[in-house]
Amino acid sequence: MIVTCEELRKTFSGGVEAVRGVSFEVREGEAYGLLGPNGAGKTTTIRMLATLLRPTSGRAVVAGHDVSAAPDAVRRSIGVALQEAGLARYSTGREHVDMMARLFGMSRREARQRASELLELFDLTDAADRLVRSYSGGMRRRLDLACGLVHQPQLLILDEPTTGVDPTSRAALWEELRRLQRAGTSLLLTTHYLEEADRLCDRLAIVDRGVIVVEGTPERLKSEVGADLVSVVVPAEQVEAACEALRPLGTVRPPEGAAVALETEDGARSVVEVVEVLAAAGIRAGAITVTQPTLDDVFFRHTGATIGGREGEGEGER
Amino acid sequence: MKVLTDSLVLAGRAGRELPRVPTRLVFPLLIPLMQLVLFASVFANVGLIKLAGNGSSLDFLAAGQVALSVMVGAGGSGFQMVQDIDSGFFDKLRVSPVSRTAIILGLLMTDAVRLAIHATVVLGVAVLIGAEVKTGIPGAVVIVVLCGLFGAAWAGISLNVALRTGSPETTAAAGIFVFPLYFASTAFVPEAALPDWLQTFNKINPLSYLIDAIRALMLHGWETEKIMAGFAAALVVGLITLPAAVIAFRRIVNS
Repeated sequence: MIVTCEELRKTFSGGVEAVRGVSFEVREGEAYGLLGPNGAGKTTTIRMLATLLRPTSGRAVVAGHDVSAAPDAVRRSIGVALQEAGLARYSTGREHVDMMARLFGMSRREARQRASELLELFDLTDAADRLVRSYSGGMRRRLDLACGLVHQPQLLILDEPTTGVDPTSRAALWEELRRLQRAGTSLLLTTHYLEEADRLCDRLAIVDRGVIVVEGTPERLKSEVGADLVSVVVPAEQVEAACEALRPLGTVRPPEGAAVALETEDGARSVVEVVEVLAAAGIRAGAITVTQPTLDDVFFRHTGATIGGREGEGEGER
Repeated sequence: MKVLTDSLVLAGRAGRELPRVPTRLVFPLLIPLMQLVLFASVFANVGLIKLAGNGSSLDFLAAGQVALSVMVGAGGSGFQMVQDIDSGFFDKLRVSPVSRTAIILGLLMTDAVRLAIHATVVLGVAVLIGAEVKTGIPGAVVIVVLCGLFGAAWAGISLNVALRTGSPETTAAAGIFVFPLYFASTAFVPEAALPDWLQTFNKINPLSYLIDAIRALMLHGWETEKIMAGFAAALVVGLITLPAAVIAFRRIVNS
C-alpha cells in the first residue's frame, strides 16, 4: 500500500468538522480518486496526507512513513500539485524547476539537467525562459506538475488537477498523468468532475460531508446503480419481432414507438450481440445508442443529492 | 548545512525577482528622498547646526532618512510572504523537504541586501547634494551593513504580521506603525533637545539607536559606543522578531 489512512479526522479551530473519520487505502501503481462536491472534505484529507495539515485524530501512512511522525520522509516520497498552481510569478519556468530540484537536495548541475528534462517532457522548453506570469492556465498546471516531479516521487498527490483548465489542455493533462502512472507512479487525486474520475481513476471513493459514502471501481459503482441500456431503432412493423429476438440477451423494456430497449450488464459488449441477433432474425437495425449510468447517479443513490446540487449549498472548501 | 544551502537557493529566487518588480525597490525610497531634499532646505536656517554640534542640517537629517528608507522597505517584507502564501508557492515549499527556517531566512537574506541597497541610494543622494561622511568610505560601508542587518531584523515584524494574518491589507497597513517611532526618534532633533518623556521613550526606541549610529559615522567619527549600540539594537530586534516568525510559521501547520 502506498497510502493507508485510518479514521482520519480534522476539526478546525473554529469547530468545523471538515473530515469526520475517513479510511481508505491506495495500492502501489494505482490511480485512486476522491470524488465529491466542493466542501466535502477532499482537499482537507489530501492536505493531511501531503503533510500540510496535522490530523486531529486518526492515522495516515504514506509510502511507509507516518505523516505525523515522519513528515520529512513523506515529503521526499510524494509529489504534490495543489488546486492553486503554487508558482512564483516573477520567476521563469526554468528557474522554478531548477529551484525545486535544488531544494530536494540535487547539486547545481543535476538540478539544471533535471529541469531541462522535465521542461522538455511537459512541452515547456520554448517558454522555459519566460516569466511564469505570462503563462496560460494549462502551462501553469504543467509547470506545477513538473515541479512536483523533480525527485521522481512514488506517489503523486493532485488536488483538482484540471479545475480551471480548458478542455484541450485537460485531455493533455490526463494523458500526461496516465503516462506517469504507466511508468510506475501511484496517483491520488481529488476531483469533482465525473468524467475525470471515470477516465483517470482505477478506484474511487465518493466523499460527502466529511465521510466516504461508497468506494469501488467506477464500473462497479455504476453497475450497482443500474444496468446499461442499449436502444435500437427498428422498422415499426418489426418491433414485436425485435423484442422477441432480444429477450435471451437480457431484460427488454416495453417498446416506445420504433425504439426497442434492452437492459444489460455490459452495454458496449451487448451492442455486437444485438446487431447479430437482429440480423439473424432478419430485422434491419437502425440507430443504436448505449446509455450508461453516470457517477452522478451513483452519488445520488448514496447521498440523495447530485454533485452539482451540493455545490450550490455554498461554503467554500478549506 | 541544509538550512544554509536551502536559504541560499531561496534567497537566489527572491534576489532574481527583485529587479523584475521595480516598485518594490523604488517605492520605499520615495518618501526618504523627498524629505531629504525638502527638509534639508526647509530646516536650513533653523539652527540645527548648533543643536547638532557640527555639520550642516543636511548632514544631520540624512541619517534619519537613510534609516527611514530601511524601515519603510522592511515594512514591505511581509508582502512577498503574503503573495507566496496566496499564490500557493508557500504550500509548494512546505511539501518539499526544505528546511522550515530557510523559508524565512532565505527571504530575510535577500531583504538584507535589498535594504542595504536602499540605504546606499539614500546615502549616495545625500552625499551627492552635499552631505559628508566623516568616516569616509569605510564608515559608509559600516552604515550600509548595519542598515542591512537592522532592516532584516525589522522585516521580521512584517513577516510576523504576514504569517499570522495572511492578509495583504493588514500586512501593508502594519508598515505604518514605523512612523510614530520615527517621528518620536532622534531623526529630526538631537536627543538633548527632546522633551523628557521622549528622551525616556527613545531609550527603548530601536530606531533612535540606528539613527544615532549612522549619525555618529556621518558627523562625528568612529564613536564605538554609538556604533555598537546600533548593532546591538539590530540584534535585540532580531532576537524578538525572528523566533516569533518561526513560531508563527509552525502554527500554520498545526492550525
